[in-house]
Amino acid sequence: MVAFVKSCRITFGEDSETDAPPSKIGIIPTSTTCDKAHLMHELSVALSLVQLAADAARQAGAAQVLALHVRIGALAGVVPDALRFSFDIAAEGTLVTGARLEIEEVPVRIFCDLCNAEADLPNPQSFVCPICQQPAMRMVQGRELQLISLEVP
Amino acid sequence: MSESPRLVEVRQNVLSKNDQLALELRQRFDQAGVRVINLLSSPGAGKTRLLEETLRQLSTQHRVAALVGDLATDNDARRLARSGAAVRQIETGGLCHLEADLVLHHLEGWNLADFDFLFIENVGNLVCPTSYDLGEHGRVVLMAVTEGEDKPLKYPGTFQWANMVLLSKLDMAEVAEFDADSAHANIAAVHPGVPVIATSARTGVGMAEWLAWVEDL
Repeated sequence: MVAFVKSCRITFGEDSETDAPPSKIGIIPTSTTCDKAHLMHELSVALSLVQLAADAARQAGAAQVLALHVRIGALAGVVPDALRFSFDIAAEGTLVTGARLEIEEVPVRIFCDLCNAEADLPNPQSFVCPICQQPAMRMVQGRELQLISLEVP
Repeated sequence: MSESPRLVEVRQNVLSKNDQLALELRQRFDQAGVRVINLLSSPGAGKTRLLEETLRQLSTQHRVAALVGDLATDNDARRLARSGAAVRQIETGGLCHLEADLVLHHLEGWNLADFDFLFIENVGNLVCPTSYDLGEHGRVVLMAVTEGEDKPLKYPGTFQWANMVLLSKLDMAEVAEFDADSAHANIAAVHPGVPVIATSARTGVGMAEWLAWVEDL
C-alpha cells in the first residue's frame, strides 16, 4: 500500500508494487520519501490508535465506530492537526472509517512539594510552579496519549 | 436498535502495546543484570562519536553492547564495531524512532547476561522517540554546542524526558560562540534538577564524569 500525504510518499509492507487494500492496519510504514519525519510519527501513532479503537469496538460488539475521544498532553510529542490528517488515512478500510476524532488537549500539570498542590503550567517551556515560582520538579500530567472512549451505534 | 450512540470506555494508552513490550524488555534486562541506556539527539549532534568513545573506554572494564538505530545504512554500526563491543544496526526503513518490538527483534541470538551495559542509539530525532519506551534505565539527550542554546525550549518534552543531558562537541564551543550559561539556564527551565555534563569525545573532556554516571546507573 502506498499513501500520499501532502508531498510525501509513504509505503507500507514489504512490497511497494502491491496495491493491496489498506487492511493491514498495525503495519508500520516501511519507507518514505517524506522529509518531515514528524508527519511520519503521527501516522504511526494514528495506526496504533485505529488498531486500539477497532479492537475495543469489536470487544464491545460494535461493527462501526462513530467517534473517538482522545487525550493528548502538551508534551506528548504529537501535533493534533497532524494526527487528524493521518487518522483518516489510517482509518481507511477499517471499522473506524469515517469516525470523528475528538481531541482533548491537556496542559502540563506539576506537583509542587513546597505548595503541596498540583498546578497547570501556562507554558511547558518553563517548569516553574505558578503559585510559588519555585522550580517544578515533578510532572504529573502532560505526556498523555490516551484513547479515552468510543462512540458506537 | 437504540437511537443515540453508545459510549464505550477504553482508557488505554494509544501506544499500550509498545508500553507492554517495553515492560517485558525491562524485566528481561533486569534479570540478565544489564543496564540499558537510550541515547537521543538531533541528527549530527555527535551520538555515534560519543558512543564510539564511550564503548572504547567502558569495554576495558565492562562488557558492553550497542544497538544503533538509523533510517538507512549500517555505517554507524561498522564505525562502532571498531571499539570491539558487540554492535548491531537497526535500520528502521524510514521510521522516525525505535520501538520496543524493533529492539526485541534485534536482541535475538544475544545472551543478555553476557553484557553489563547496552546502549541504544536512537534515530536522530528530538520528537518521536520519546513516545516509545524501550525498556531502558537511563534516558540521555545529547545536545551539541553547535546547535544553539535554545534547543531545550524548542523541544521541552524531550529534555523533560531525559534523566541526563550531555552537551557534546565542547571542543567547538568557541568557534560556535556557545553561551554555556544560557544553555544551562534553558535546560534547567524545562527540566529543573536534571544533571548536565559538558563533553567532548575528541578531547576527552567530561568523559570520566559521564562514564561514572553510566557505571552508577
